[in-house]
This record gives sequence, structure tokens and C-alpha cells, in this order.
Amino acid sequence: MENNEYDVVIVGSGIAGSIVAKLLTNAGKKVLLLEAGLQAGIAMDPEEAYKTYQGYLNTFYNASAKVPNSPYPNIKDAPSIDVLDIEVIKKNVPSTKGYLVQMGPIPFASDCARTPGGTTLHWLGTTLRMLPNDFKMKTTYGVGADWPFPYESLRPYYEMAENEIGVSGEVGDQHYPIKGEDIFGEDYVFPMRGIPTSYLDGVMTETIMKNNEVVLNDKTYELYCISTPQGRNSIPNPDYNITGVVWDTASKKLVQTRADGKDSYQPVGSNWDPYTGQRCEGNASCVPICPVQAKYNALKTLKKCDMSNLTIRTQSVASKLLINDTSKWISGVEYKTYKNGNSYEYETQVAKGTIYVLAASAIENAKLLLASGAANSSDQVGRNLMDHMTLLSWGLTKEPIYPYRGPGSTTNIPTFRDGDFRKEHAAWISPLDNWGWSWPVYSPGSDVNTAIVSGMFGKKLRAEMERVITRQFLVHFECEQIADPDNRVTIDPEYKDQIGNYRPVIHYKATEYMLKAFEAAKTVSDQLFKQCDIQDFTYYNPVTNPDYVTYKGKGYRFDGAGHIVGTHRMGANKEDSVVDADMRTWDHENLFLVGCGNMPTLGTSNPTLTMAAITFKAAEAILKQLEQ
Amino acid sequence: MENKLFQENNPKRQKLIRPLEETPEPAPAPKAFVETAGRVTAAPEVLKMSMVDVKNYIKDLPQLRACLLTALQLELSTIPPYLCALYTIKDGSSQQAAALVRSVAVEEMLHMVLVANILNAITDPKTIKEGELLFDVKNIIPNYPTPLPGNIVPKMPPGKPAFTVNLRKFSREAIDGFCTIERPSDPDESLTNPTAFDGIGQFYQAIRWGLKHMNEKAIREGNKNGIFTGDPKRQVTPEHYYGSGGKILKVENYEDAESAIEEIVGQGEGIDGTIAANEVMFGEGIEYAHYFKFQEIACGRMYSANDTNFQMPVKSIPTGKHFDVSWSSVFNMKENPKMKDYENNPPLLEKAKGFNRTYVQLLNNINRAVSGNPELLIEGITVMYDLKYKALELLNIPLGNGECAGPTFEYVDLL
Amino acid sequence: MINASSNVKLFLEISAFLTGFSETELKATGMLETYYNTILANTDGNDIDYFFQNVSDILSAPERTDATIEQAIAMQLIPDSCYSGLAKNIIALWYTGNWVGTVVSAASYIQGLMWEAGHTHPPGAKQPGYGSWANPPLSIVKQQN
Ligand SMILES: Cc1cc2nc3c(=O)[nH]c(=O)nc-3n(C[C@H](O)[C@H](O)[C@H](O)COP(=O)(O)OP(=O)(O)OC[C@H]3O[C@@H](n4cnc5c(N)ncnc54)[C@H](O)[C@@H]3O)c2cc1C
Ligand code: SF4
Repeated sequence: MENNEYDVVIVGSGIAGSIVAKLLTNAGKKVLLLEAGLQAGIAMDPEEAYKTYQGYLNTFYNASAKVPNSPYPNIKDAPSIDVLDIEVIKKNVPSTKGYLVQMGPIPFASDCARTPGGTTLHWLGTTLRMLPNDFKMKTTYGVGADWPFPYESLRPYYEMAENEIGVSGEVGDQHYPIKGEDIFGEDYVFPMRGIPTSYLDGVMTETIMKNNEVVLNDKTYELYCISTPQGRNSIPNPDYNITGVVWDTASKKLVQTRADGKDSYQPVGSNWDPYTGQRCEGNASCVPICPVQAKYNALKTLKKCDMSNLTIRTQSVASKLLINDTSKWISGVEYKTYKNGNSYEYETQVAKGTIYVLAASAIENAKLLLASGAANSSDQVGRNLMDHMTLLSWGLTKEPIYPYRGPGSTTNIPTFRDGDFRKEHAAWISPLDNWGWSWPVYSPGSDVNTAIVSGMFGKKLRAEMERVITRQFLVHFECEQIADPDNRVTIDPEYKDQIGNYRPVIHYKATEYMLKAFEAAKTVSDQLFKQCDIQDFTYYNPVTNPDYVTYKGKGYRFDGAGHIVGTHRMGANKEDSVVDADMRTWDHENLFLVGCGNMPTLGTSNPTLTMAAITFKAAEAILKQLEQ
Repeated sequence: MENKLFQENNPKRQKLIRPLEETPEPAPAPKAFVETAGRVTAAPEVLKMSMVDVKNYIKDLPQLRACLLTALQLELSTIPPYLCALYTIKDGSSQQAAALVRSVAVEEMLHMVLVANILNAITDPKTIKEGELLFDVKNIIPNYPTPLPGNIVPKMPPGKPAFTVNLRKFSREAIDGFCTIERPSDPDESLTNPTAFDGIGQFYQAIRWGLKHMNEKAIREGNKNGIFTGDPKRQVTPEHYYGSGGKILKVENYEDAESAIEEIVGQGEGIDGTIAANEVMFGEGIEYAHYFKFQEIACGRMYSANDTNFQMPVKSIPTGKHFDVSWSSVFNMKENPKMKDYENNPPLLEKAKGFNRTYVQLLNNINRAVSGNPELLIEGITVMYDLKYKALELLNIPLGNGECAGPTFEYVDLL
Repeated sequence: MINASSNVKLFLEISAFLTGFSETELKATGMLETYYNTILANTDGNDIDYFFQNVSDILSAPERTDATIEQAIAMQLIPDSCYSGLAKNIIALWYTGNWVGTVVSAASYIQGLMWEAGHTHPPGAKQPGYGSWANPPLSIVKQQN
């Protein structure tokens, strides 16, 4: 083993990298964190943190298209994947507009933020757990893959993740379409009480429940609504007594610490003032930016590191892993430190540690491995790229439901999260959206323009806007994409960014398993709208929607959910997976991968909570390995 | 995760309250000074109440209750001036000052609730009529400019008129006024005529003695709970409050009541202005009293970890980090605006009324919350946000003489 | 030609008719001057002059009522052929804070009237506070005692 300055080198300061950094530094390990984004974004002192964040907010206010990445700097030396770059791919002509090189036939539809703190800066914050069957899809339904461990063994790690993120939710509401399985364990409560569900949720739940049977492929299902756990601050639950996690050197395990008394949880406020963001204040802009940081972001975790053990190098883009020819151990990470975000000037350096952790998000992790010729003896690196392919349905309700208020979504319909139909087509979850039609058609701005163009003005216009805006209903059908080896990230020397790093080249399509799910979801959507007397305005545009697909003669449009998953899957054996159950690469003993790329299946929950849970598991394995 | 900031036993929390001493004779001390940015004012002579009178001020339970209601009014009367200062700071300027004023305003809300908790704790539920509310919104709203309620008469420099509380834009004058409101008492000042309290701290000191005496008396008379016979369900509990320092305390006995007063006085005004020496008092994440927050704004400078040695009279000015305070990037709000000023402009008057309706709604809400529906406080906070947006709308409307309209904080009947 | 301050006044008056929000409501956004300057800076000078002349005529017509004014606006200002579509741009400016698709300023985004018209607030600003979304908006709830 080489004599290294650092115990561990981590690439990326998103939630995955930050959790590892926090656990390791607090266990006394020396950590070097490499982060591609701009220096300003990492500021930990309150004044600087506030300044940077106000800068983001101001950029957001001034942005014409308020997409997820709009508040954050998109720098040429470390470009971010951006939904604004998604365009219709012409036959055999790759789309090269953005950072991704999209080979098609249809574009990958999600983005992430390459900035200190990573994508949780603009995530929504939904924190559902995966369901037990999601971990054994191959065994139960004959599709996808099995995880190398069952749901049950993740339960303590889920609790750690829920503590770290600060989940608000009601365990009692969590009824899933599964039988006899105890998801949460006796007496478990979330750190904070459920975020109040929206007025819209209340009206719609009542409407849906009046007539809640839908038929799909001759089978009857019952729709129902439950509140959604989420990573934003609410009223602390007095019955919650977990206070954190520590590394126990004796047992070589992470153990949860608990308070004797109750009332132990304190919501974590903003990074500049602990009293700001103590509660979600209903800014209704969680994606792309929570102005008060009531919503969790990874900088909150990073702030809890033992700073005396942490070195952070920003503006430092990892470009390659160096591999020792004989031992196959990783001997360094080559990284390029750029001067300012858009110059061509940079310096190449090598960081060395005992153990290396890639936490640069699923696409970037895979790309780095491919660029280094690392960890790929299974030929699975970059393959199995997944997302929730999201069908959107929108319409106008009879009575006002007053959307555009509160967090993005506070209620979901879990009916189709699990069931035998998964043998045939994908499962999905249906969050009710609190933000009107803003996602599919940029309402209400587009509604204003339509009305003005039609010649409306004055009181009539105002009344029309009131009529339309207050009755907009949107529901998602977030379909679980199943692994397909041909949906993949590759590299090509022809495509590099301006400081000579590879750009990810993406091949992407919707398999029949997914198309069938779109057909099924649309059937359910049609029944739901009819039964709830919602005037359907859903429209899929064959010409302008980049992710427009057809099945049995009918067209569908899907959107990305921001859930980038699967590109370095975990598995029980090295032939068909990249990492083992500890998230150590099979090929390099001192290389760990963290992030959603590890997940063999996606389930119907947003992936980050599960990913955070397995990241705790990975950190435990790293600590164990360091102390061997 | 344990967060020190919220712990009531946080050692860094400044303790401005001392145990009640049975021997109140103070040692002679240097003359009081009030020192703000470079300007030293010799403290004027004022007739004050002697310590003994503070101790025996409250004679019976009805008077104690009346004093607590006055305390409620006192806390309430300071909120509108703080809000006016806060709202008139233009977006993006004087950020540090705005954050400090905001935190004080939020904490005054907390104090109101704490006083209500004490009051509810000593109110036998059998004496409460069905639907009866703790206070009368219409009569509790002061008419600005107003003296401090409760016979509190802070010292003023010689030749200056008696102190009043005003609705003013963010200005040096406003901050001076706030400093006076929150100024710690000087117990060492020699006393003569017992006519008035010299500060809020002294008034609370009287309440504290009153609680103690009445409670001991009740216990002597065989009531095992003393005067603390209130309905626990009328207590507002910690989860209903957030957004600044301090914590809501349930009050069920004398010790709780004392802690609640400690919270109020320690956070704001100070009973004797002594901060334990050789303890780090200022710096990130440490709470300190309102008076010192206003001193920081007046000086445009934070207290630093070295500014530890506070004794009344306050001699030391902050020596920490400078911050920008802009006295010009401010809405030029008319002083103590009234609805009748807007009578010749009906749409503006309607807007001012709209603001006041929201204000009254907020007070009604707080009133219902402290009258047995604590969960309503959460809704009240929603109204609080709305109040701000309505105030900003008024501030955007010019009056034509270089000044702009502003919120009047007057009572109006709700529709 | 008419002088600047009376043009601002005309702009305010006609904006009220164009948007359906009262003059006081428009003033309360604090955006009047910014918007007036925006249209001056981005519209052909000739168009502007004729536009205000026309507005002045409409607003000061003898025996005018709200209905006659609205009718005149529909005929003389709203058609795309009139003043290069200025009236429509003004409406969009007040409602969305955008001038022909571009955000004028952070404040203009925040003050967009479409949010108010829809009984809500601009995402990321004027937040209504914890739990507010569980109830109907305050703007439609009867204020009770
Ligand atoms: C719009 C949107 C909404 C979402 N909502 C939810 C939700 O509600 N619930 C949920 O569970 N998930 C949600 N997600 C997904 C969630 O945001 C991600 O799963 C999560 O943030 C991934 O965390 P990470 O740490 O793996 O990666 P990231 O957060 O992306 O962090 C990667 C970090 O690595 C850095 N980096 C990248 N490349 C390099 C390099 N070469 N060298 C050095 N540093 C590098 C980046 O700058 C970044 O800091 C959402 C995503 C989007 C886009
Ligand atoms: S609703 Fe607002 S306050 Fe709440 S998390 Fe979202 S952005 Fe933050």
C-alpha cells in the first residue's frame, strides 16, 4: 500500500459524496474532496454562503425558462447536463447541443447539477422508500435484476438516511399495494410530522375516492391517495429519538445514537442562519431552488463534516483514475483544476489516497470509469441507464383547486407501485402535482399569452386567468424503467469538452416493457379524468416533443424525472455487475462507487433516499476496510 | 442531532436574570452612560421606583393578572414599530440589519405567547366562560405614538420629551427608540420617588415577585398547586413556534413561570444588564439580547467574541465585523400613519384597511390560539406573511410629498 | 407632444383598463416607472407618441363610460396592426413581468400579476408560510372574526 496523505479521496460533493465525507471525517479519517463546481458554491461561512445562495436566487428570478438548472452556474469547463438542451433527434444525426451527446433514437430526458452540493440543490425532495419486491424483480417477476440483499437488511440504513435528510412524514399514512410486509418496523416515526398536504390534495382525494375503481387489462384496481414523505422541514415529531450515527470502532459498524428523552429532533435550517428554513414556508419553488433552504440539500450534510479532517478542492474536475498495472489497485485520480469557469486554462494534478470513492452522479461516474478503463470486466459500466419515464396528464377541474401553492407534491396514488402486472409492463407511482400545468406547458405564462393573443384584456382577461389558473390539475405517471443493456453511456474521442474531458455519449430508447406501461397508464389516466369530471387537456405533440414514442398506433410523450440510475450496477457476482454489496468495485479493491448508478432496479420511488441508505452502507464498508 | 442553539440550558445563552435577592440594597456604582457610535450621553436623572417597591408592587391576584395582561400589551405594542422598520428596508440593502430586526420581531411574538402561557397557567379554568378569549383585540391595539404601557418610563436625555413608541421607517431615530425600549435597567442608579418602572426588565421583575408572593400565599392557604391551577390544554407548546431564538415553554408551576420570564427578559431587555464575564458572548450561533442587536445596527458592526465584558452601564461598543447599513435605501414612510391620512384617496384607504383587517385577523388568531386552540398559531404565522406583502404594497404608493404610504396598525372591524 | 409625467399617468390609466387591475393595485406593485421606461426603451418613438395620443383621446372622450373605453381599446389598441402590438406587450409585461419573452428584472418576475389573478404567488417569492397551502388562499377566504 502506498503512503498517502489522505485516507480517502472522494470525487463529488453531492449527497452521496457528502454523506461519505461526513461519516469518514467524523470517524477521524483524512479526506480529500474533489469538486468540479465553482469555489463560491462550497462556502461554509454564513456570510459567503448567503451571498452565493442569494446569487443563485437572483439568477433564478431573472431566468426566462425556470428549469431545474436555471439558478446555478453552467460552466464550460465542467458543463452540466441540462433539460434545455434536449431536442428532437433526427435520424442518424446525434444531438450535440449540450454536454451530453445524444445518439438516440430518443434523448435521455433528465439532468443534474454540477455544482457544489450537487443535484439536491434542485431536487424536489420526495423521500419514499422502495418496496420489498423492488429488490427481487428477477425472482418475483422475471424482469430486471435482483439486488444482492433484501429490503429488510436495508432498514437500519434507511433510518440513517431519513435522519440525515430530515424526513417529514406520517408512517401511519403509508399504505402500499403489498401484503403482510412491515415496511417501517414497530413504533418507527419520521423525524418530523408530515408536511401538510395541499388543499388540492384534499379536494382531489375526495373526488377520486367517490368513484375509485379503474379497470386495466380486465382487472379492477382501487385508486387511493396517501401523503408523501419528503425531505423538507416540518414540525419535529416528539416521539422521534434518533440523534445521529457514529462509527463504532469495536463492532466495526455504524450505530445510531438515540436521545433518552423525547423532543430530540431539531430541524436543520439554512446554511447561513439556523433559524431560517426551520419550516417549509411554501415558496413553491423547491425545484429549482428553495429560497429558505427548508428543503434538504447536500451542503447541510457537508457542513457537518469534521472540517479539521477535510480538504476540499473545488474547480477540480476528475478526469481519470490511475491504475496500478500489477495490483489493479487505484493509485491516483487525475484531475484538472480550471482557473475560472469558462477559460481554457487548467492545471492537471493527481490526488492520492488509500481508498477512492466516485460520487460524481451516475452518468459521470460511468464516464470516468470508461475513460480510465476501470472496473469494467463485466462489461456493465455505463449500461442499464434508467430513469422514471414520466407520462404527464393535465386537465381542468370543475371547481377551483388553487394550485401553484406549497411543495411540488404532497400526495401520491400508490395503487400501481407493485403487482403481478410487473411481469408485463412497468409499475408506476402517481404523484398529484401542486404546481398546475407549469411542467408540461409552462403555465401560467403560456396561459396568459394564449389569452392575450386571442384578444382578451381587462377584467375579462383577469377573470379568465382566475378561471384557468385556479383549476389546473396535473398528475404524473412515473414509470419504473427496467434495465436494458443498450440504454447506455459510452465515450468517443471525437466528443470532448473544452478542457479535454470526455463528454458522455448516450444511447437511449423505450423498450416494449415501457411502452406497454405508457399504454396502461394512459388507460388509467383516462378513467381517472372521466370519473373525476376533469376536462382533459393532455396533448402529445408528435413533431415538437423530443421524447415522443408510439405504441400500437398511439403516441405518447414522456419526460425525465431527474432520476439517473443504474450505470454501474451492484450485484451478487462479478460477471454481471460492477460493484459488490458494499459498493466496492469487483475489479479494484480500493475503489468504491456511490450514487444511484449502483442501483440494479429503480422501483417506483424517487431514488435518492434509497441511494443515501446504501451510501451509509458503503461508508461503513470503507471504514471497515481502512481499519483492517 | 443536538442543536445547541435551541437548548434552554445552552451555557452560551446569556443569562440576564439573577436569582431573586432578599436584600435588594445595591452598592453605589459609577454613573450610567449610554454609549452609541461615538456619542456619549450622560444619563439623566429620573424618578424611579425603588427595589423594595418593585418587590411589593403586586398586592393581589387580580393585580397580577392585570399586570400580565399589560405585559401582553407591552410585547404587542413593540411589534408594529419593529415591523415598520423591517418592511421599509428596501430589498437587498442592509441585509444584516434586516435579519436582526426580523429576529427581534419574531421573538416579541414568542414573548407574547410566553406571557399568555403564564397567564393561562394561573387562570382557573372554572372561571373562564365558554368561548371567552384571553384579551380584547380592539382595546389592546395601541394608538401610535404611545407611551410604553405598564407605567414604564425610560430615562430620557435632559430636555427631551417623554419617551414614546412610534411607527417609523428604518432610521437612526427608529433604532435609537428601539434601544430605549430594550435598554437594560440600571439597578445601581440611586432611587428616589417611586413613581414608575425605568424599563421593561424592572416591570417583569415586579411580575416575578408577584408570582412568587401570590404563589407562596396560596400554598400557605392550603392550595397544593399554589396559583398554578390553569388548564394545561391552554398552553401553547414548543412545536408551534420557530424562526428565531428561544423556545416556547409550557408553564405549569412557579419554576416554569420563572423560566418563561427568564426567556423573555434574557432575550430582550435585561433585568440588570450583567452578562457573566469571561464567557464568550458573541459570535456565530450565539443568542444575545435585543438591546445588543440594536446596538450592532446603530454601529454597523457586530459584537465579536472579545466583547465580553458587559456591565451596566453599557460602555463597550461592538468591535467585531463591520456590515453595511444603508439609511437611504429605505421607503420614506410617513411617520405614524393613520387611515384618516388617506381619506382623500379612497383606493389607498381601502388598501390600508385591507392591511388592518389582516392585522386584526392575526391578533384574533393569536388570541384564539392562546385561548385554548394552540394549533391556530400555525395559521397565524401564515397571516403574518400576508401582512408583510400587504405592507409592501402600501409602501409602494407615493403620497405625493416625497413620502410614501405605510401600514397604520389600527383596529378595524372585520367584514 | 404630451409631456413625460402626463404620459406616465396615461400609462397607468390605460394599464388599468388593459389588465383589469385597479390603478392602486398597479401602483402597489412598485413597477410603474420601470415598466414605463421599458416600453419607452423598446418601442419605436413614433409608435409611442401616436399610442399615447390615441390613449389620451380614448380616455378623455366625451361621455365616456367603462364600456365605451373598453370598446375603443378593443378597436384601436388591441389589434396587432396597432402600434406594433404595443398594447398586448403591455398586458404581458404586467401579467408576466416579461418584455417580449425576456424577464425585465427580478422584481418584475416577483410582481407578475398572473400570480395574483390565480390567487397564488410567484414561485420562490412572497412565500405564504408553513402549511398555508393546506387551506384555500387567504385572498378568497372571508376574513372572519
Ligand atoms: C428536477 C429533479 C428533481 C429531483 N427530485 C428528486 C426527488 O424528489 N426525490 C429523489 O429521491 N430524487 C430526486 N432527484 C434526484 C436526485 O437529485 C439525485 O438522485 C441526487 O441528487 C444524486 O446525488 P449524487 O450525490 O449522486 O449526485 P449529484 O448530486 O449530482 O452530485 C454529483 C457531484 O459531483 C460533482 N462532479 C461531477 N462530475 C465531477 C468530476 N468529474 N469531478 C469532480 N466532481 C464532479 C458535481 O459537481 C456534483 O457536486 C431529482 C433530480 C432532478 C434533476
Ligand atoms: S415549498 Fe418552498 S419553502 Fe418549502 S421546500 Fe419548497 S421551496 Fe422550500
